[in-house]
Amino acid sequence: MKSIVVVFLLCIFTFNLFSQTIKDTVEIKEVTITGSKSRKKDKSLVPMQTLSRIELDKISGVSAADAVKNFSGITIKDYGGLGGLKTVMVRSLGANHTGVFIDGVQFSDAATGQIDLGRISTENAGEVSLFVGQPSSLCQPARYYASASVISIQSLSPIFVHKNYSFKASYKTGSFGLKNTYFSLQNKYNHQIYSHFSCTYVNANGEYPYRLQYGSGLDTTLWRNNSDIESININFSLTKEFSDSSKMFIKSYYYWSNRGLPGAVVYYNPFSSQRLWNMDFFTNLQYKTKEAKRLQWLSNLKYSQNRLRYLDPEYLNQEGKLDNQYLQQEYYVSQAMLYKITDSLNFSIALDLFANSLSANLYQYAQPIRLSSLSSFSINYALRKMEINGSVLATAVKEKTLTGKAAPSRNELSPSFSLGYKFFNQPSLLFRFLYKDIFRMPTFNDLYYTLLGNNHLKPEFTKQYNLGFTGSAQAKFLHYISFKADVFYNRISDKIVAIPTKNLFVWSMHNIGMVETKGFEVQTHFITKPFLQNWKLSLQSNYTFQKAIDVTNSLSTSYKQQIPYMPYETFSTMFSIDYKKISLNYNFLFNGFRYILGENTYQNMIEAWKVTDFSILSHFKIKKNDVKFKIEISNLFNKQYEVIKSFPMPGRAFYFTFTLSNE
Amino acid sequence: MEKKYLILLISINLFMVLSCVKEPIEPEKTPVTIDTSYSTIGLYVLNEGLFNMNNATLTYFNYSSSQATTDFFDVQNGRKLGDTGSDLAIYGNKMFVIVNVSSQLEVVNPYTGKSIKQIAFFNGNKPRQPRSIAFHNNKAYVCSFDGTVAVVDTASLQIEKIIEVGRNPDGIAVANNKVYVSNSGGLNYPNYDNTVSVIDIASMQEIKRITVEMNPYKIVADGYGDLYVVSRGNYSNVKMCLQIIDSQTDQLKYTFPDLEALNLTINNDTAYVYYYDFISGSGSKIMTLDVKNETLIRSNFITDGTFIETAYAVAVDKSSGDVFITDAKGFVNTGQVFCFDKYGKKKYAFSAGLNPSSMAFLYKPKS
Repeated sequence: MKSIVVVFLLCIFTFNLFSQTIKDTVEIKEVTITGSKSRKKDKSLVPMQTLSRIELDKISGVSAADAVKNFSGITIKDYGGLGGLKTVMVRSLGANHTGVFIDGVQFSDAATGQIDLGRISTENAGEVSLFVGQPSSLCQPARYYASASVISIQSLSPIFVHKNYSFKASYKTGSFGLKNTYFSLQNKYNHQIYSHFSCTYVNANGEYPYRLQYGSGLDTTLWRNNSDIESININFSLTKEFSDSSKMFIKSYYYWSNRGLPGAVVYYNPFSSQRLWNMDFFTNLQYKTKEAKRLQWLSNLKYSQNRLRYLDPEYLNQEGKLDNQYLQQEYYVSQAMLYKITDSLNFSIALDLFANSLSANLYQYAQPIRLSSLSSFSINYALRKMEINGSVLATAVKEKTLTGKAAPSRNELSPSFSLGYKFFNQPSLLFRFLYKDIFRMPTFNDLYYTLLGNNHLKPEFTKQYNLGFTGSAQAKFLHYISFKADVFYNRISDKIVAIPTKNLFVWSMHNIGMVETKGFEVQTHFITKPFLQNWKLSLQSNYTFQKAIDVTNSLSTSYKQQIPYMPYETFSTMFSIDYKKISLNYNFLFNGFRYILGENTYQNMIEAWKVTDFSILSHFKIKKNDVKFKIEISNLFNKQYEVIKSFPMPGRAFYFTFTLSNE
Repeated sequence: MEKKYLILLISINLFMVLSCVKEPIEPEKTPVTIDTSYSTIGLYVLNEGLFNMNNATLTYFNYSSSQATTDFFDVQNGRKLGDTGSDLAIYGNKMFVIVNVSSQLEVVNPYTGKSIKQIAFFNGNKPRQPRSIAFHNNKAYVCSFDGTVAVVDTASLQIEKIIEVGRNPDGIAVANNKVYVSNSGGLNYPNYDNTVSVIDIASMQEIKRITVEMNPYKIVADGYGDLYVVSRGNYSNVKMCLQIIDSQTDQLKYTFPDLEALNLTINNDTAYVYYYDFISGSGSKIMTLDVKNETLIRSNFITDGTFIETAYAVAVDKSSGDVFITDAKGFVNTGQVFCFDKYGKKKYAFSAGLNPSSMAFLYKPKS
C-alpha cells in the first residue's frame, strides 16, 4: 500500500514539475482518429484483427474479454458470470502464450502466467487488437516479441475540440443487480501537457438462474449464489509533448476487487463461501521520439504490484479455514531504438530488463525472484511490392529462491520471420507468410507451488506457421469490403502438464505434452456507404477451424485426439444497421462442441453453444453535450450452456447504459 | 461488381453458420436386468470421476454375460451419483455409495440398481465430506473429513449419532467390537495427523488414540483381530508404510520393514497390497502377504507380465478367490478392471469409468 502512495505522489510531483517548467507554447496538432487508421490490418504481414471504438460501442459488455471473443482464432475460457475468470487461447496455444498489453505496457502475472481479461475494462479503449506473432511496428519493447500472440488495448487519444477539458460519464444498470458507474476527465493544461483520469466502480450481486440436469432424467432450475462482485478501476495518465514532437507519458493503473467465488456446480451440494480479493497496480513512465524520424527512441520504466487473497472459510483443516495471500512485484526497464538506413530498410534493437518476485504465506514457500533480460533485433526491408521482416529475440532468465532449490538459468534464442507480397494496392491484395518460434517460461506456480511445483521444468516451446492473403477494396456502394483467409500450423513441444508423480496423491508439473494444430481462418467484413440518405449496413464475420491433437504418446488412449477445451469450430458475426443516429446491433457467437478430457468420448463432451446478443444504441445532443443511450440484451434466446464443465453461463440479461459527454 | 461481392460475402457467411464437424453420438441407454443365478452375481465398481466434474459413475459387471455397464446408476435412476465417489460396500441387501464432494451417502438396492435413499451429510451449510464406510451389527459407520464418524442404522437409514474423532479421517474398519478410524490430517499440510481413533461400540465413545506413522489412510481388519494400517507419510522424506495394530491391546505392534504400500485388501490369510511409483516408470507393484504369520509371500503377485499402469483398487471375490485390480490409467483416461486368478494370471479385463476406486461383489443371497 505504501508503495502505491509513493508512486501516486511521484505522479503528482512529476506533473507539478511539468506545469512549472513549460511556459513556451508550441503549436501541436491534435491527434484524431481517422477511418484509414483502423485499416492497417489489411496491410499487416502478421494476422491482425481490430475492433475500433465505434465497434466496441456496439458489442455487449465492457470488458476486454467481451471484445476479443469476437476475433477469429480465439477460444475463450469463461468460468461464467460477472466475476468469473476469463482467459483466452489463440490458435489453441494456451492462455500463457498470449501477451496482453495496454498502451504499450504488459499486464504481467508471473504466478499463473494468465491474464483475466474480464477484469480489464475497454471503456477507455480506442481500439482492441489481436496479433498473431507480434505487431509489425519495429520500435517496440522486446516483450512484444516474447509471446506467441499479442492482445493490445490502445486508449483513446485525447480530443479537445473547443474546451480545455472533456468529460464523459456513464451509468449502466440491469441484470445481476449490476451498477457500473464510469467517469472520465481529460484536461489540457497548455498545448503540451494534458492528462486523462478515469474511474469505474462496479457493484453487482451477480446472481442468475441456471438449469441443472442431474443425469438423463431429472432437471431443475437453481441459482448461482456467492457470485457478488465489487470493483474499482482507476487509470491516470499525463502526457507532455516536447517541441520536437517527442512525448513523455506516465500512466498509472489501479484495480481493486472483492468477489465471491461460486465455484463449480457440485450435484447435491449447493453451498459455496469462498472469496477472492485482488489488487493490481502499475505505473509506467514512457519517453518516445517522433515516429517519422530517422532515429527513434522508446524508453519505458515500470513498477507493478499484484496482490491476491483467497479465503475458503469452510476448509476442513485445523484452523477451519484456508487464507492464502500472495504478493507479486515487477520492476521493468526497457529501451528500444529504430534506425532507418534508407527509406526501405530499417532495423531496430530493444533491450528489456525486469525482475519479478512472488511471496506467499504458504508453508515453506520458495519466495522466488526471477531476473529476465530480453534483447531483440529486428530488420525490415520494404519494397514497392514486397516486404520482409526478420527478428530474433534472446532471452536470459536467472532465478533465486529463499527456500528450496531455484530453477536453473535459461538462455534461449527465438527467431521469427514474415514476408508479404502485394499484388495490387487499390483494391489491395496481399499474400503473407509468418514463422515464429517462441516459448513461455514455466510460471512460479508451475515451478514452486507447494507439492505440485517442479523446479526442473523447461520452457514450453511453440512454433507457428501462417500462410494467407488479405484483400480489401472500396466500391460505389461499399465504403469498405475485405476478405482474409489464413491457414496455420502450430506445434507445442515440452508442454507443461500436471501428472501424478511419486504416488497417487501428489501431482506435479512435467514437460511431457506435444500438441499439433492445423487450422484455417476466414474473415469477411463490409460497410456500405450511406444509402437511401440515412441508412448504413455493416457485417463482419469470422470463422475458425482447428484440429489440435495430442501427439504425446502413441500408446495413450488420447493419442491423436482433440485436446481438451478446444472446439473444432468457432464462428462470430457482428451485424449492424445504422439509421441516422440510431444503430441496431446483432452479435452472434458459436463455439463447437469440445471435450473436457483427452479422450474424445461422448461422456467427455460438452455441447456446442450459440449465443446471440442484441443492442440498440442511440445518440443525441442536449445543449452541445453528447448523450448516448444503449439497451443491451445479451444471450437473447436464453441459451443454457457451459464453457467450462460445471460452470454454467448466465442466460438472458438486460442492460441499460446512459452516457453523457461533451465530446 | 459490388452486388457480386455482396452475394459472395453473404453466401460465405451463410456457409460459416452451418457447422460441419459432427458431435459424437450418445450411446444408447438400455436398462439392465440382473441375472441372479450365479454364486457371484456381479461386480460393482465405483469410479471416482474427477473433482468438480460430477462424473462419479457406477459400473456394473454382469458375471453371466461378461457385460460391463458404466453409468449404470444413471441408466437405472435417471440421475447421476454426483462428484467424487470415494467408497462402495454391500451390506445385507443394501449397497452403500459414498459420494465425497457431493457429501451424500447413496443407498441402493444392489439387485435392481435403484436408489433407496440419498442421505445428505451436512453440518448446517457445511458439507461433512464423507470418505469411507464400515459395518457392524446392522449399523454403518461413516467417517467424514470434518472429523466425525456418523452411525447410520442400516434398516431405518437414519443417522443416529455423530461421534467426534481426529482430523480428516480417511479410513475406517471394525475389529473386536471397536471402530478404528485413521486420522490423516490430510488437509493440514505439512502438519499431518498421526493417530488412529478407537471408538467403543458399546458406549459409542472415542476411547483412545493410537499413534502411528504420519498421515494414516486405509485400515483393513484381518481374521486374527489385527488391523493393517497404511500411512502415506509426507510425500517427501517420510515414506509410506504398512503397520499392524493389535485390537486386544490397541497398540501398534509391527511395521513392515522396507515395504511401501498404498492400499490393500485381505481375503482369508492373504493380504493383497499394491504400490505405485511413477518416477520409475515400472507401473504398479502388487504384493501378497501372509496375515497369519505377518510375512511377505510374493513381492510380485502378477506372474504373466500383465502391466498395470496406476493401480487404484484391489478386491477379492470370496467365492472364487479371483483377484480384481483396477487401473486408473494416469487418472484422466477410462479406467480398466483386471481379473486375475489366485496364481496371478490374468483371466480377463473390462473397461470401467474414470478412476475406478472401489469394488463390491454381489453374491447370491443365502436362501
